[in-house]
Amino acid sequence: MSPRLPARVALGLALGALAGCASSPVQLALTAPPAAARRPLPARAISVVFAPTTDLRPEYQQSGVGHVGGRDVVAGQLLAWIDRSLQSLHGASFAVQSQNGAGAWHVTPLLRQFYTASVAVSKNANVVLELQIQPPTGPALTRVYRGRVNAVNWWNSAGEIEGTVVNALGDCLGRITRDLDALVQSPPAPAG
Amino acid sequence: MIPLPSIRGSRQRCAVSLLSVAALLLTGCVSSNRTALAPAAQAQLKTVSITATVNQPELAADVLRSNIGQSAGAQGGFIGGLIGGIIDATIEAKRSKAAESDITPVRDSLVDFNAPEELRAALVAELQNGNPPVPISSVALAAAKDDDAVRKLVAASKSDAVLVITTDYHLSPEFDRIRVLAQVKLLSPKSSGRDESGPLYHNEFATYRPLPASAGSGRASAAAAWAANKGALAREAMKSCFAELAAMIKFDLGQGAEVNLLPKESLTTTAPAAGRQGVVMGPGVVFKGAVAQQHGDRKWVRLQSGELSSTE
Repeated sequence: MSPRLPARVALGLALGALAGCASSPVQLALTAPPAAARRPLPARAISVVFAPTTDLRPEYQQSGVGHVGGRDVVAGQLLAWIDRSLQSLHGASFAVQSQNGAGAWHVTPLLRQFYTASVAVSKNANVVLELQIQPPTGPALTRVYRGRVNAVNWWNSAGEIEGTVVNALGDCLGRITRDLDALVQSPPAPAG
Repeated sequence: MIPLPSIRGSRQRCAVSLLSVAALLLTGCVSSNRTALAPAAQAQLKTVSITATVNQPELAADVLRSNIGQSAGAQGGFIGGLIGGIIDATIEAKRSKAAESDITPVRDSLVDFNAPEELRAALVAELQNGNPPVPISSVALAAAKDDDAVRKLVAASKSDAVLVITTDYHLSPEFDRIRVLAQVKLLSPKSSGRDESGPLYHNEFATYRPLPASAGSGRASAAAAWAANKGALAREAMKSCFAELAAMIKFDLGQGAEVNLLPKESLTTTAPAAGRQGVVMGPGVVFKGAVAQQHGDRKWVRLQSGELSSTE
């Protein structure tokens, strides 16, 4: 072995020997909601009703969610998974209901971004959800929440990549939960 | 097989070709990475469509490449190289994490900014409506995950040729400039991209817009400046880069093969280097070239191997 073998090649050989050189597409299963969406129900909660998520990404970007380590990342049921995750969301002061009710907050989610990418030896995932929030009284609000994960891409495995995507949505849902909790406790004052 | 634009590896290819310029400068042997559009082929083109392939949803952040471990481990054989590689990987991972965190305010300010659509608008204005060297019939955006996808796009076209434009747009490692890189190929559908003779035209482009000096120094200050007023500076920088890129492509399409090789005495100007997969060489790495065109307050520099790079 040449002593001048570039270090990156040496590292690549070592990792390749351990993990194999996977280049096949990654099909995300996306079954269970992220942990942030699986908290216990509060005893007294304000109702929040989520509409189905609308995908605002350009049509040509909707077939995949990016590339990591030379692998296409595909998610067939992305919107359904996001909707399930939002439906499972509960904060300290609010609970998501599937049925409309008196005094409920109505939220329309818009998917702005959902992608994975590689930078150097790391993998990134970004999820950006815009929520159009209509309190029972008072003006409507628009809030944008970004969940993101940046971590070393150790094995470039499907499970590792899926974990990054799940954690990015979990980060986004955590931000939504904290903000909705604050909002329902201190709703915006009606205009005038 | 034609080396079609690779979406995943386009930046690597851009960097590889630019790095090869540096290597060739050292050896004194220069060849061109540019393929000029031959007058005979140009005359036969009645309709050309443009497909701008989109491979990044948001503005990306470059990170500086680390050579610390590689340098230290170079004398240590395989084990030294491995340890050096791990050191460099660790440093780059740390830089990547910091860059991804620091760029978030800028991305958030641009959440409603459709960069690919802005690029399309610039291409329409400059190339479809701007009396280009070849008749442009349409400009479309498409995702092309790999070479096969590009081949399918080209093969499905009813135009005489398809100008495939693959772009990357990034913040530099210090966030002091927004850079746009592009690889451009003119391909014939008749060959389905498999013509052994290669593309009808090929070149690579680089342009950037700096952050005003008044924004202060440091990445946090720079990010705040780019993000202020709903990302006004970043939006303007990207729009300017896309407009200039379209103009550079139009200019270069009309240039013949004679510009491919420059005499050494004309290499008087330096241009910024490109990067690979979000990792760029140090700020001191520049490439020599000659001013091919003065465009407003910008100079378009023809690098020695044919690429066109815009600078101040």
